[in-house]
Amino acid sequence: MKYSLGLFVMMSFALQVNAADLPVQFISTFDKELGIEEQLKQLPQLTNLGAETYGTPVKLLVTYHDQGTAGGDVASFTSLMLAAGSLGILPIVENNDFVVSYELRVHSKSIASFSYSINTTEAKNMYTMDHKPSKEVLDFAKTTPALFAKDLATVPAFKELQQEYSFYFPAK
Amino acid sequence: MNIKFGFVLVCLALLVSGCTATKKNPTALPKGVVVNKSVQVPNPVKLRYYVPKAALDSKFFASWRGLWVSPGQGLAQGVDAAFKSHFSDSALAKFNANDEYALLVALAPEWKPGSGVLNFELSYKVFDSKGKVLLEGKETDKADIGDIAQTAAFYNTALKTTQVISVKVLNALNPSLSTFPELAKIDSVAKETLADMKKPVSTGTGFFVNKNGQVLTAAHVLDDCLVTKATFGKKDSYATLLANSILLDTAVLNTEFTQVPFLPVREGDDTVVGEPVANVGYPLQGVLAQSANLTRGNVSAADGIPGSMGHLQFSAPIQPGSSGGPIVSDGGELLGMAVSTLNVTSLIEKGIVPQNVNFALKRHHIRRFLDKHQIAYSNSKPDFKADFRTGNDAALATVVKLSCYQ
Repeated sequence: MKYSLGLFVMMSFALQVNAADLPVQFISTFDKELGIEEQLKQLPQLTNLGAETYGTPVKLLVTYHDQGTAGGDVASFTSLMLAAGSLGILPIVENNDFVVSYELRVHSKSIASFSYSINTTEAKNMYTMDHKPSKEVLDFAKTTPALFAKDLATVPAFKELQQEYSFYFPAK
Repeated sequence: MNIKFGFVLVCLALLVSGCTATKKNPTALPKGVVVNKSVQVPNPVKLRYYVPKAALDSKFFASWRGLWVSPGQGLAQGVDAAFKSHFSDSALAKFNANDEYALLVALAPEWKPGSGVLNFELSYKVFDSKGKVLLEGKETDKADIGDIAQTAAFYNTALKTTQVISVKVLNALNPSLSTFPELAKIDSVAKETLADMKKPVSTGTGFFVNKNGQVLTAAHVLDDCLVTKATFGKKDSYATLLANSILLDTAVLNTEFTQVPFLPVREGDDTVVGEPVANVGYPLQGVLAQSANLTRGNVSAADGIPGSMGHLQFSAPIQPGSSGGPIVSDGGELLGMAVSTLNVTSLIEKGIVPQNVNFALKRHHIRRFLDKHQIAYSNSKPDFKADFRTGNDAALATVVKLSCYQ
């Protein structure tokens, strides 16, 4: 359902914009296998998105990070103390916002920036802790290209950029 | 006994690190700083403050912690919090909007990190709506750097010094809507009175494209400049932006120079790979000679790297500050404008040491940009038989140094 909604947003955007083939370099901290790049390539304004178009001044950075919450930091610290006191029998409970950020830059200047987040709570064993994103947050990350498509459609600077590209590099 | 002693030590360490990592309350004034009872707080007078963009954006990579530290973020938040605690309508001045002010405070911050201590100097000038300087001075503070990953030390020093300045403004001027009734547009302020005109934050290169003194350059040379100066020979002129393209990284400036020599654009769009070219610029100002630097090379490729927009590759060496310099043929015709070089650092990390791989915007796109903005230029037929000195002389005669002040 989520994905079909995303597809609808992308298709409706395609009807609105007759976008030029603007080359955009994709830079991300997500694994390629997650398919974020492939989803973004379906957007009509990002058809020329690629990781290896090094020369383009237009870069799309897709990154993620955990952001502590006020209650989460307290819970994490307390459970860490308890876990240490019980020599690892009790788990460490973490509550964070998992934030996926999209930033569009032209010649290093940011022209659009959006973040999407989901609150997560995890119980981890102190001996087997890793910092890889969980399946839950990765599933959430897969839904963000559709949200980004909707938000990007509202950025006048991106539309101006596309128009400028069409002017200087008209389709042959 | 040892366990108790260890426990006390841990508590003390937590306390100390907690202090250095905690942001101070903006409503609590530093010791000995008091607002006069006759002064209205929060004050309704419209106050705007100016902080150089370079200071607000400053950040560095703390390699020992493996993270980015942002003094600029701490500065921005500290200054804002201090003024907002006294003035109900205070904000960072915006020069590209119809922003207005009754009192304008120009701040010039400087960090001087010492051994474990952060020294901070904040110079200030206070202007009224007519541009008259009402107050000026300098406040200093120092703080324990503590955990540098937190911006608390930067925030706290900025907060404290700005609080002192804010209280001085309140006590000395006793501002009210009746004593400061007039508002002025921020755009109307003489920017050279706000900027630090002693030393440019960056320099770059440009060149004349017509006899009217209009200068073509790379747009990034002008990034966030409050004031731009063009130096031609031994003469200086203020320069103002006439047109720019964020996509092509190209801009044209108006200057006060007239009847100047200029570079004609070569007719046609063909790129002759292997053609000898000269590049002139003002690179590494403060390190190299202040006169123009000329380097020679060839057009190495008709295109740039994948995804690049309208670039040709050339081999004449360039350095930081060369951006915006002309790429000139032996016949003295403009072939392109230096805009970038290969990212050597990232390639060296991969074991590759590139040499003389530089990129220029092709003349076809320069011409289109000038046409779009109706900026005069002239074309010239290619002269492949000319002596290289003809091209060198043409480039040297038309180039200007651009200095950016904030």
